[in-house]
Amino acid sequence: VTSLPPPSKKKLGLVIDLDTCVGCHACAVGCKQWNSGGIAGPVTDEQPYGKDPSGVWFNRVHSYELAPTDACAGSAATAAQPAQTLHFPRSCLHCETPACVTVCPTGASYKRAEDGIVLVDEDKCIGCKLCSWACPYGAREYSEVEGVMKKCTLCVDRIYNENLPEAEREPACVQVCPTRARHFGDLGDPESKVSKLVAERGGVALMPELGYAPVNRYLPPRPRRVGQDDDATSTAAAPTTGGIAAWLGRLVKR
Amino acid sequence: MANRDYLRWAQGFGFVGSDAPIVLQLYSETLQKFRLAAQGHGAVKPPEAHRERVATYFDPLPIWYEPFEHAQIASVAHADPEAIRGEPVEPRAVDGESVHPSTGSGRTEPQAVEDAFPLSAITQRPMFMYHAWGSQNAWLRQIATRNWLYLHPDTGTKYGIADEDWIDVTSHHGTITVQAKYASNMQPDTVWSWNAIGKRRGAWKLAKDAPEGTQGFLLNHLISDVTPKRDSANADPVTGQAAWFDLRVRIAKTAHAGESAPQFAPLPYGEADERPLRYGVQFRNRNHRSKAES
Repeated sequence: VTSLPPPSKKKLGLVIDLDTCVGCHACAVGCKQWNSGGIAGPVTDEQPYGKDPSGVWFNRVHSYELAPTDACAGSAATAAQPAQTLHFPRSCLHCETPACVTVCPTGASYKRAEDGIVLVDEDKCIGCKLCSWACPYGAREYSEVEGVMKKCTLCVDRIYNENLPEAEREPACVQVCPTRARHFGDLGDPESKVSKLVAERGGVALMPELGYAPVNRYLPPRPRRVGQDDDATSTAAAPTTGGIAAWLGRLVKR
Repeated sequence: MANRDYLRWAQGFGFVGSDAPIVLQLYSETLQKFRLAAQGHGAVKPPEAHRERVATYFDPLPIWYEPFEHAQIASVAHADPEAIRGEPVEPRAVDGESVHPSTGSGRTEPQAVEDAFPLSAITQRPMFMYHAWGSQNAWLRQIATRNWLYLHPDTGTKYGIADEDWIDVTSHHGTITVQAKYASNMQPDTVWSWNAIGKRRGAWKLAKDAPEGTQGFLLNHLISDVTPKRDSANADPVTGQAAWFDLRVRIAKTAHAGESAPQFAPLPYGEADERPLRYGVQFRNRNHRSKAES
């Protein structure tokens, strides 16, 4: 019942590298810290020192264990993959056709025409939670304490904030990531750094078949390649062929 | 300058802070001085009781030897069956004075001596714990309120332990009760956990039923401050660094499921305010009003 604006040329969003994310939750905590003092605060917590603490997080990290797989021969040959841990940071994907907006009965949930950011106007929100039911990505965060729906704002109060040095006009999660696994930019511009990164690394949208056209992209973990040393000791051993540059090159590429 | 091209390249890449030559001392004259003193040279000599240890381990060249706890466990297990059952023992410090009693409960039956302690047990920090180093707050508690003992599923199968079973972990020093969790991405002969999440009840004014106190645990209770033979500090002989990673354990399903052990009387600090936290509400526009307040 809330209309979407005409599709914007500019599509601001995040590109998250699952190959280099180490699951440290710095993005989640940094997000909570910035947004506590920003336009979307307070980011509330219940039972903070009790048995079952819970709270509002615009960004959450889920960790999964990947089972080891055997080597695969053929044209798309892959090496045997060891058991791995995959860390998956989850936040609003700022969809191009977000169901959370069209389902909103009051107009509180809206998509910005100029850059595609999906926001909640808390003064119009009645806390009916229809948007959290509609979002298939679980990106909405209801604050029982405040009685309103909250969500990732893509740090709209940072990215245009002229009180911040230009280099800091990025979402807090991007700024704080110690492995630089998070990138921010205009995914509507095929020439932008983030678009080129997505093209180069085969970035994917989450559940595109649902038709909400998420803007954020995830870069898949790089599989271990055929012929690559399959244990750490041989990579750490002294170089034998190709010299130290080749040896270090292998280490860096891992 | 030795290795100049590499150093310049590495400095450009940010691997090293400067391209100054890196000198690795393979032969350590400092260690050799200690060894010579222990062998009787010079005016200053190590105390008699430590001379053999200094002469053996202060080798000027890199050497490898089996960690003391690994090497000594079998002989101790033979000589002192009480010790491998984890019965309360009075470990003696190097100087012969009595130190703290063991936390061992003696619940586990003895096994064949050769596989009395078949696993290494180590502590590490998961990435998210780096945020919690020396601190605790309501946000970090929502990432983790308790720890687990991680083990490879094959190790679980071998010892009859299912994912999330409660188990007794026994070292030559004592027994603790913890909850196990499967993790395929680790060595089958090693179990690990992280310390610092486990808390004595009442610590940091957490609720009495907070998981930090009921399910969290410290591996430290298994680590003796002296070696199994009680002939020296359980520490690296050169640096004095505590030998936490030398710990050897065995694991078995426990009858005491549901709570970690040992447990101690709660600290008398009272409990923190349990009202919701609303950090930042004061920064909101004056016209904004929480629905909860209206």
